[in-house]
Amino acid sequence: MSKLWVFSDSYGFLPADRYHEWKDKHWYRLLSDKLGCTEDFKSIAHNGCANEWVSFQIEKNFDDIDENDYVVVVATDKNREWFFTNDVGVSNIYMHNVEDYISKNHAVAIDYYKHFLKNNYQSDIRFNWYINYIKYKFSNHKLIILPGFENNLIVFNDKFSTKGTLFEICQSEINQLKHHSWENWLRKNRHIDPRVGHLSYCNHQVLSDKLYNSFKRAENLDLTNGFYKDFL
Amino acid sequence: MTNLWLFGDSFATVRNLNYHDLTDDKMPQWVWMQQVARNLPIDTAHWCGLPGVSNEWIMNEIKKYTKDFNKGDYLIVTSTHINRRWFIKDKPDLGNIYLDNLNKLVTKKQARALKEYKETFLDQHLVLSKLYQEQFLAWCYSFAHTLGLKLCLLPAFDENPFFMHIKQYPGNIANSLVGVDEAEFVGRADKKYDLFHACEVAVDRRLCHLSEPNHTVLAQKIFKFFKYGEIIDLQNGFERNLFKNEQDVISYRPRDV
Repeated sequence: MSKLWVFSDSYGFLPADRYHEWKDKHWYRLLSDKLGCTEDFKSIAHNGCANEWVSFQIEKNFDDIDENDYVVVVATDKNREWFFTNDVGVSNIYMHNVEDYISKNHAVAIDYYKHFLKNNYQSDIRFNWYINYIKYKFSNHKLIILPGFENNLIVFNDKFSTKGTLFEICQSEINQLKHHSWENWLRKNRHIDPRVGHLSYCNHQVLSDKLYNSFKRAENLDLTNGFYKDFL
Repeated sequence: MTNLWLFGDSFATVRNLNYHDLTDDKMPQWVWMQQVARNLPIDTAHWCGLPGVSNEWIMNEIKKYTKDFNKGDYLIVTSTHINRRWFIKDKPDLGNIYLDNLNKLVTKKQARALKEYKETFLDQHLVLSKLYQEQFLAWCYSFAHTLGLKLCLLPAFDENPFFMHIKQYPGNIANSLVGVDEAEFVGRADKKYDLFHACEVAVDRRLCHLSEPNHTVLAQKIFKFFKYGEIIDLQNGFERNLFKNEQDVISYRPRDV
């Protein structure tokens, strides 16, 4: 029997304190069941991580992934960087309160880095490397790359087209975003998205259906349509 | 029309601070890429190398020419040192952030930023370097496959099992272009840098860090790879111990330059 492997940032993360409530409802669990995979699916995910941490995890686990297994990789924000070996979640150096999570020295180094060494062209180049690395690494597996934040730089999946991003689904659930920005909405929620994987259960179901259809029938993966919207 | 394309670092260009007028358009016929170009069934050859760059710059250059590649073209890439980064956009040749005189070549704020980065994130920099190298190499294979190019990836410094057409050796045997370069010195790498230091020769006087006989050996190996699919062995077949003392280094002058 095949196994489902998920490598992801917060979109594939299930916090320990919500495990029992969500263990059978998360999109990857629903997908694993639909695909008829073994119970011991693997989601290797971390809130706020960078693509570099994900590729490190892919390298670490690669020998255990069978060619019959299914693999979903969520590509996160290209501007995140894995600076802190153990503080994986502090990769979003543009987070409004990043200095709350790191030492003063680190904050100074990050600030200089952001202003004088960090450039978008570097992020674009590495993002391009990363997506091609995943495709190459899993060229003998059943793979879907899910765009987390960007979908205008590169072809994510070669067998079908991929439209939209997970961030678009996440935002489209929030009716208030017609009047407020995403940042304002987060601020109102004390900077914590109350949803698991930034999606409500109804959209976990839709997402798992779409991923199933792309895996099984190479159907185009449209993340801009078919999802429940404007209800939060 | 079939083209040969070469992208890379100082192993892929004759540009050298010792010879200000020397450009890739005017390189001597014995330089390895010229020899490869003469042996392959091509119509034109394009050179795009710059000393000191990172793999990010190399990828960016390759991508710039995407629409100019033809199916069946030959693409040679020298993959550079994994620790280099393209941090300063208008100075891609400052990829080596450990360069001695780097502070004199950048603004004060850039220098401070580099100092903070190196002092704070050195360990993680090394971890990321290995990941980036694999990603870059995978990108090269993917790019060449998509466009139908014949790809020859050469490790300038760091080996990796991803170099599938380069002979792999167990243990710490250097099997890269820099290994060929250093073996030209009696006493290899340590002696090379000692001699450079003693002679106050800041920049290698050889072209592409190789002496003329080794340009020919390298060119033949690359040609045989393209023509017969022969695995490239960068450990054997090259001339060694060509530089024994300071005089050898000081008096070296490449032919036709």
